Amino acid sequence: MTNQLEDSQPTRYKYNVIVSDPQKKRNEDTHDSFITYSISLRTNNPDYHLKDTTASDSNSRLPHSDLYDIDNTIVTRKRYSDFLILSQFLKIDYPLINIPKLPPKNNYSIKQIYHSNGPLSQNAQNVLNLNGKDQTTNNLGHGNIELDDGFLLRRLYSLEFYLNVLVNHASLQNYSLLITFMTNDAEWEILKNTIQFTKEHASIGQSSVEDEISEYLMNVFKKPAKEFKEIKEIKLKLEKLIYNLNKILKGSSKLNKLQELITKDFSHLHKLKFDVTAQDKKQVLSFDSSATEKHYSTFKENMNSSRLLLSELHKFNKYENLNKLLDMINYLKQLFDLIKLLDYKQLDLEALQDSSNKLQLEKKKYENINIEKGKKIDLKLITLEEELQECNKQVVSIFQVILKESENIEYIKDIQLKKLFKELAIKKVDFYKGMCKVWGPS
Amino acid sequence: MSDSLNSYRSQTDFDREHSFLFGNADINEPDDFESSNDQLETTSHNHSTSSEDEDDEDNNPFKGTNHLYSEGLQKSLNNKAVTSRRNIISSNPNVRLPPSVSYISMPTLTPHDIEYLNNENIKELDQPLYTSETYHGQASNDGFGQYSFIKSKEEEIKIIYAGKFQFADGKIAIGYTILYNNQKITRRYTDFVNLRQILKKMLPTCIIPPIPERHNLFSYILQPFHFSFNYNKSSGSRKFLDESDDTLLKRSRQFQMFLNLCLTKSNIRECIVFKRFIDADFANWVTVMNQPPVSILPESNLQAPPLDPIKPSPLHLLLPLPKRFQLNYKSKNNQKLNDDSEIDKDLSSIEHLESFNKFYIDPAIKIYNNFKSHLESAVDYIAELGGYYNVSSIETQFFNFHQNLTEEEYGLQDHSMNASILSTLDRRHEDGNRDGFVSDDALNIYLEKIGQIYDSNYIATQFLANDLNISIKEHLEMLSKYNEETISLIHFRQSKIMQKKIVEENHFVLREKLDFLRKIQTLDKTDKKETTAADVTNDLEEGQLSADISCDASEISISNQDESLDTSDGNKTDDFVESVLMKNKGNSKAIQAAINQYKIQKRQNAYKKVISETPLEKKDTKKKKKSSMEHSVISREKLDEEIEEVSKKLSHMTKLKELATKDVNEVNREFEKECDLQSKIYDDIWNKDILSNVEASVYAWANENLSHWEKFLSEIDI
Repeated sequence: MTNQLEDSQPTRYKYNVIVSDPQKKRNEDTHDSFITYSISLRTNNPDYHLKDTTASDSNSRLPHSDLYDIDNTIVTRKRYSDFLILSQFLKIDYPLINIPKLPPKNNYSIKQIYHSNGPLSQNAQNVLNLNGKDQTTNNLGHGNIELDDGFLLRRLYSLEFYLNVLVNHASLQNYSLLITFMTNDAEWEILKNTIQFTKEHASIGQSSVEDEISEYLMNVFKKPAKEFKEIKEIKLKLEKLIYNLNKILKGSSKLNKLQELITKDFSHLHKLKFDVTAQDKKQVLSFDSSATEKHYSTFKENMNSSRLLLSELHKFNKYENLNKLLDMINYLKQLFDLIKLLDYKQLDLEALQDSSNKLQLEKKKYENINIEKGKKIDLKLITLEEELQECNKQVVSIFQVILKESENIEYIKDIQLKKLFKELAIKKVDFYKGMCKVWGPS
Repeated sequence: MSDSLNSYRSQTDFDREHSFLFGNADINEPDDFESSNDQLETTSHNHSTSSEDEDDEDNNPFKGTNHLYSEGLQKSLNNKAVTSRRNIISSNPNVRLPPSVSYISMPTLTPHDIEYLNNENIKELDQPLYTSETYHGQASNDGFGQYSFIKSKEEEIKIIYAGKFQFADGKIAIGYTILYNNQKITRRYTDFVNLRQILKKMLPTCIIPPIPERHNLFSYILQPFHFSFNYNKSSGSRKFLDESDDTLLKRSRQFQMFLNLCLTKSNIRECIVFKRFIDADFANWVTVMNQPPVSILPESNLQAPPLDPIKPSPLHLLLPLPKRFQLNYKSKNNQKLNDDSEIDKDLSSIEHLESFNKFYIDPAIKIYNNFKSHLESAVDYIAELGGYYNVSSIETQFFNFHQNLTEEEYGLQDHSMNASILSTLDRRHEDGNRDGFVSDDALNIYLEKIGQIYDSNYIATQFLANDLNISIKEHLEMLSKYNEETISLIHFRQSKIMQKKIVEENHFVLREKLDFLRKIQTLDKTDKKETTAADVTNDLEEGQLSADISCDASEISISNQDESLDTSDGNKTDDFVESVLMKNKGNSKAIQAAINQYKIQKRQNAYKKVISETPLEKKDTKKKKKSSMEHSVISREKLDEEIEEVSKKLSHMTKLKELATKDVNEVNREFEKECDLQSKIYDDIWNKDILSNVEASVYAWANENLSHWEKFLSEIDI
């Protein structure tokens, strides 16, 4: 718990993680197939470049600005289960830190993807495997999965968001496991295989969850008498922010649905075979209108290309932008969990204070009458005092964690949202540029 | 109260001043035109100033529109309504407005409507009347509305205003003010419909441009609030009026297009009725309708010369009227008909046009309607989204509490925490000062800018939706109507050709019969005394045919005789009536009209008789077949008689045939011309009105949005 407090971040580094290129691989021993994602990281944090530099010692001491260069991109390949392991590590090592949730497991969809591309694995030998470190290298089945698949795309971008958050988090960015995860495939494999989650770990995790649940049930209707002003403010503002972001998300997705419908309209119109050109050709009225014919066919082409542009924009919004926004909102919501934890602790504290007050009253009562009892009460009071102190400490530390977390989250939120909006702007510019090009005077 | 009084006064004034304009004004003398026109200008000027005076008395001037609401909504609405109405009176001298009470109490008159009317009229009042320059800048009235990317074309004729008027016959209706040659004239929807019908009759070979459809009950059920319920005091009749902005604009646009298309066609342009329609001197359309040439149009334009149906020759009236089912009839006779191929062509083009309507335009419109509704809801969502962005831009930081923190507040909490909290806070402050947090507000700016972009996107998209509606939907509808028109023209041509064919057939039959009779005559002459039954039986086959033919021919001749008898009979009895009418002719127009009507009736009676007797023909032929068989031996006297008759008939028929051929040729010639013109119009509509406009507006839309987003991108990159 004190770990993260000691972590200080002297400088903010720039990070950019891109998850892309899902590929299907097959472990023929177990007849399991899985999908790997390529993770490219660009950062000017030298810690991430250390292992890289030992491998290829040419750029060992580069200035920070140069590290954030497209040539210094670190590329690794991971599968979904790797992410799960990473997040388990994180939960154990940083129990109080908000770790964004991974995209859900969906066995059904995944299985569908596995089975649909079955015959592709026969070409495995022909395809060069870039990732020779996997132990299943020899028996790899491999297939490129079409990016049209909604589930896969969503997972892809959620993973991207997940990594971006982790990497930008002030307390997590220097976590050695994360660095290994991001930079070194081989080491990660070793770590993954050697460090098994002991039952102890698991039970700790479980019990804490149970505790939380019981605590939650106990305190669901209670509220601490005094709330920290800052926490209150954070809570209010966060609620507002989440509300607004939700509105934006909903509005955008509505708009997006309409875009989809409009795309469909375009394609319907495109399908209309009976067009002016036919009218003119068959026309007995000897309409000479080759110009119109030409005009119309270009018009149709234009419509088709704008349909394509629109559907591209639609896909971007649906799978990437809005998905990330949703993840962001969920991530922000997780701060509430922490605040709730603080509430519980405060309730505990209050309860302890109550009992100590009672004891003190009792002590006063029995002070002169019963020395024996007074001594007992004194003893009790001392232990209670200790507990109180302990609890107080916890509250303070949680409070501090919250402040720190909200600062971190705010930073991440700013960066991520800006990135989202920038991406949106870029896509929109692309779209409108395309539209201008298509419809502009030739 | 004072409002209604005022308006009443103004109305009566108006009546007095303009009474000569309505109904009974004699508009046939050109001298009067000039003077009335001058007067009209001056009086309207006077009137506009006088209404301004009244407004001053009312303490309700045009300039003071802002303070109107201070008097309460209802009253201000009334005031506004009255002002707007007055303006209409002053700027449109040829119509009156309804009494104020009925106007104001209309429930559907929203403040928006009133504002619209008001704005329109203030604009008109501010400008001097009847000068062409003043209307150049008035882009809002070119039919596209104020919200469009499309630049309006310079049109020869314009609809500059649409709104409620009370017309000369006392009915309240939506009128459309046409500006042409610096003259203003207000017509209503029914006038347009009438005009179009008359044009169609007068110019049967011409494809008349389409006009918007009437409202059907369905649209009323869908949007009942667009209609207002008008109570007409004078006649007590009720009427629904659609006075929504959209409809008015749309119709104005379409009427404008109609008029301009009419002007491009020389036939229509030269047509006297059309000329009168856009002539301010013929303010009262009803009188035009009751005058020649409108009043003397024949009932069927098939029985009239195709180029000039007003002057049918007597022979035209004898032309047969082909029935609908006969259009698809193909002659089984061996007669060579070079029209056959043409008819086939016509049929296929009709089929083509119909299927074009059915399989292209209709589904296209359907798809477009879907698209439109999607686009419209997209517009709504864009507006919403812009709002959300703007709202969320107000506060994006949740970890931001410098302002409210004081030492005392901490003191109220737990003292033991103080030190640690403050230390973290301090550290945070240091962080904030050091770096990174300079961009704290950047997210706000982002959100705000995106909000602005969405707002402007909203406006642009609304423009786009409006434009696309005009350029795609309305024009597609027009094309579909045009196609229907073309089909009806082809039908007309076909009927004409059929007519010719029937005449030709009759002619052929008559000639055959004559030949046959002549043959018999010569046979008779050679074998005068040796007529045997064998001969007759030898000729039985031929005889049968001839008998048929003779029957046909005789029937025709009989019917013709009947007709002539009828007409002569009629003439005798009707002469008296006519003479009486003629005596009083000079006195009144009504009688003149009556005479016209009478003449038409007479002529029509004559047609009807011919028509009614034609079906009898066939029945009779069948009946008489047998009788003719019995009388296969024809007496010589009868033969001579018949030959004479038939030859007479034949000469008659030859004339008819010539006429029909001439007509068909004319129609064909006109048809070719019309088709050329029509194809040009088609091309124009497709190229300019649909494709180019769509391209232009989409491009403008994309460009505008692109500029916004690019600006945003460049700003956030810094």
